Amino acid sequence: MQLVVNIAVLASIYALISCGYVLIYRVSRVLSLAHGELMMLGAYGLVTTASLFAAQPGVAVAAAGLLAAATGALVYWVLMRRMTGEAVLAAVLATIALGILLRGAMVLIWSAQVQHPARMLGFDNPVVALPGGARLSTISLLLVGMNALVYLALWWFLTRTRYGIAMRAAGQNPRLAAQRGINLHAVYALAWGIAVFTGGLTGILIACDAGLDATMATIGLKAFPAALVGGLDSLVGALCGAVIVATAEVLLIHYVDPLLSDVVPFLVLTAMLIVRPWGLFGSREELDRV
Amino acid sequence: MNVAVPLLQVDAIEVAYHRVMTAVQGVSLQVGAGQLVALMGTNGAGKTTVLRAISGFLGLDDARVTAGSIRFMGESIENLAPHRVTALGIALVPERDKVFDNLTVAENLEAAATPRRADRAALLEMVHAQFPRLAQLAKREAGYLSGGERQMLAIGSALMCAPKLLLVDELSQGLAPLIVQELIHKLLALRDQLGLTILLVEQNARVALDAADHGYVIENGRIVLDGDAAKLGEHQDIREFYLGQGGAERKNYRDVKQYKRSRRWYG
Amino acid sequence: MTRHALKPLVGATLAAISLCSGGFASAQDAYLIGVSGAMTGSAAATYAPVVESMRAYIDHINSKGGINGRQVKLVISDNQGEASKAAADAKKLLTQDKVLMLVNASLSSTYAPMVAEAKRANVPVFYAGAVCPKETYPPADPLQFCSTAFGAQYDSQMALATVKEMAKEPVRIGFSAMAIPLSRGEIDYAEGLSKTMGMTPVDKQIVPPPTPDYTPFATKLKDANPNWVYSWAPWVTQVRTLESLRRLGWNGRYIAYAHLNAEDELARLKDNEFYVFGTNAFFQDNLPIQAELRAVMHRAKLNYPITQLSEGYIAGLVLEAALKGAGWPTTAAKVQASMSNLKVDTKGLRGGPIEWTRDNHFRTKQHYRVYKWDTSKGAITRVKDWTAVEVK
Repeated sequence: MQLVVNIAVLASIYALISCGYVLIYRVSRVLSLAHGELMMLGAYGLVTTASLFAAQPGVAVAAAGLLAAATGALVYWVLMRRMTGEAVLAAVLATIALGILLRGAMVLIWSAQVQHPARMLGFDNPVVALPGGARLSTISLLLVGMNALVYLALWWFLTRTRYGIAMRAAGQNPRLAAQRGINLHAVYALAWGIAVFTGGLTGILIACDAGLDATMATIGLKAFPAALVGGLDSLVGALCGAVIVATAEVLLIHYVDPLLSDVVPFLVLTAMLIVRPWGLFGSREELDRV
Repeated sequence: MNVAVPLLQVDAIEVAYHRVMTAVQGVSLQVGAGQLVALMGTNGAGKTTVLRAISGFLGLDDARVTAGSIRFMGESIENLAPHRVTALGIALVPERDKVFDNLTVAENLEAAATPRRADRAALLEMVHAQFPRLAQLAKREAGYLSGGERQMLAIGSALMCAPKLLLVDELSQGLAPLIVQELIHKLLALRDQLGLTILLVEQNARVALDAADHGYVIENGRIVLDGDAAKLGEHQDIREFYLGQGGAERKNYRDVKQYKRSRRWYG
Repeated sequence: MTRHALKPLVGATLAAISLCSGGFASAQDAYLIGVSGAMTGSAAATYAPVVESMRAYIDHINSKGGINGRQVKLVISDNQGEASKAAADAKKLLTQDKVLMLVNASLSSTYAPMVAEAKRANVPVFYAGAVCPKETYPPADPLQFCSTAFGAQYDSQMALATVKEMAKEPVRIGFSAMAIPLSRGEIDYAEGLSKTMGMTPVDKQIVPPPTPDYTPFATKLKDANPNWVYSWAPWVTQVRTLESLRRLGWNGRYIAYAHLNAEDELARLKDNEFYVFGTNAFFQDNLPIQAELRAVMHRAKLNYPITQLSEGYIAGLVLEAALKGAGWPTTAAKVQASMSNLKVDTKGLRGGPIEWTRDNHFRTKQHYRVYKWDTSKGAITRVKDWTAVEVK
């Protein structure tokens, strides 16, 4: 039972990070390799808002979320917008450069110390005991819940609202979308805003659960195989990919060798790329050589 | 029919791709309000480029209107972004990729952006009234539609943008003649009922000239002929090279001289 | 151009070149010390405070007139914990700046390239805050020196000795390490050592560095049912293994090495069965030297909590002593000779002086204390006072 819970928590972490990758890729066909760093920036945002609003944790968290969303839109508007029309590789390189810049900037602003935003907000993170003997921290439980909520919200947004449908249209056929009156820049900015918001949310949750230090950006990269396995432009795929990778990881740690956990996501990814390069639910399109 | 200021005025435009390839040169045409104007020409003549120049280029195309002007209702619109042009009242039904394949019919109609001045619910009702098939097919993915249904959806979603001018690129391509007739009648009905102005690009000159009020012929990036549709139908070169009616008797292929007659567009 | 005009022009050019390459204090006037550390990057939390506090101490010394009447100039480079950058730093510091000593405050992966460059230039390498490699243990490599608190093998000997002392029943011991060479090696050593001491090693978890969730590892560890767990790794692995174990409901006793932030962390975790052993005195002891440290750091306006700055301060004390012994004017060889016969009074920051000899560039005696949080008192208590371990 504990194993199931561990899988659920790890899968939720990977899935929440992946939905950012998928959203940006699906809508603007750009692979954002700065997602891990943006996730970290979102968590550092909470450190700042927590020190400003220590007495009102709700306000601090909400402000941090809004900051993350605004940052995403800003990244698009200032940087990625100039990459539209250029080669895909140029856009991806731009995100890599952004990631490197952010990593240095974050250390300069917040120092390299480990931060504990949960403690700053006065939150204890008590343990929750589930029926069946499994135990997990409150924030881990919240992670699983948030994951479900975010995916449901995204599903509802993309299928039931006009902006969501416009977003899907722009992702499929940007020229036609523009000709149908859809402002592509606004759509892309919105996608980036939502994606960085979900990334920041994940960063905040992980930081509250386990502390925030400079290694969080690498965790963003660890979730990348989950997104690729599912097919980089499918949210359902990201969810499935996350579950597959997390299951493989947890079971291998428990029954085989803990050292494999670093390698497992990439083993699963390699297997998937050999068998079905467009992922489980991805669209079978010309796979660009990047 | 001849209005003082035409709805659309294209003056000697020149369009260049990748800054080096000139696709269209010195093209001028006019579309009066309430008219159906045809733009004819063979493959690669520049028809689609003219339509794209009017409806706006995307950054992806790496193309620009490098000379001349395009005025819609008196306003200059050359090199505007496509979604801005659509907001002004021009909608394009493209030749290829005319619908969002992975969205349902209903979602296709939903995705189109209606300008604030228009009533979305009324527009949707009008589209369903004009194309009842679309209401029946609401939940079908657009990629699975037949050619005729797809064209209907394309026109329908363009109408959702409440255009004053509808640009249609290759209406008849890949469609059975009966369906084409149906669609032509629909376009004419839209013109009569809604006062919609239509610029129709067509390779099939018969279809174009039957429906249009006025016509232009474009070849190798230049307009070579224009005039009243009826008059154009009588023009010798048009009859021979576009309508397949050159000469009364059957020709012998051994009579090579025939094919040496070049198009001169003099009368 | 006439020959008359040429000479002064050449002379002016040469003068200009020499002025530009000198910087503030030219190489003739100050002790030039090169520092290559992980100032940014994922390891920065451990190493940046060391470099900053060392620099603050040196600035303080300089403001009081320097050493042997000369200023000390630290040329600091950021290697981000990467070997390639460390190699580039070393090359630049040795050939361009011509430093007398290279200070390494970074991950062990940066050691080899730096040492290679240093050997070529015959310049000593001083590990400050960076884990001491076995080349500094007797018999020591003539060019490598280390003042860093923790030491492989001696740490585990101390930890397990403490466990044995405090155990009330037969010990079933679990281990936790990070998947990096030194941590793994030490835990493997500890596992073997525990058997010779009559303990039963039940499980060993090796966790890869960037892990989002430690629970799966902790689950396996808990299932082996240890009553003690020992972890020797960067702080993040030590503390997150503990936190995950506690969340799973494990109530045994945990012992780990007291890194820079141990004092703050004990107060944060408030875990009654969490023991840390280390070589640096905690700031709650309120020693005079710590008050001095506070004053120096306050003047330097450092962004770190005071409790993390002992290591850098100690490195500064060692650097001061080494340069004092090297005299003026000096060479790298004289600095090395001074370091090979050094005794530094840590004034209570450590359990005893740091003594370097020709064969021992670590220290002759390693002193440890053991601390833990006492929930009944609501404060950190000292469980065991300075215990010396001979370094042979």
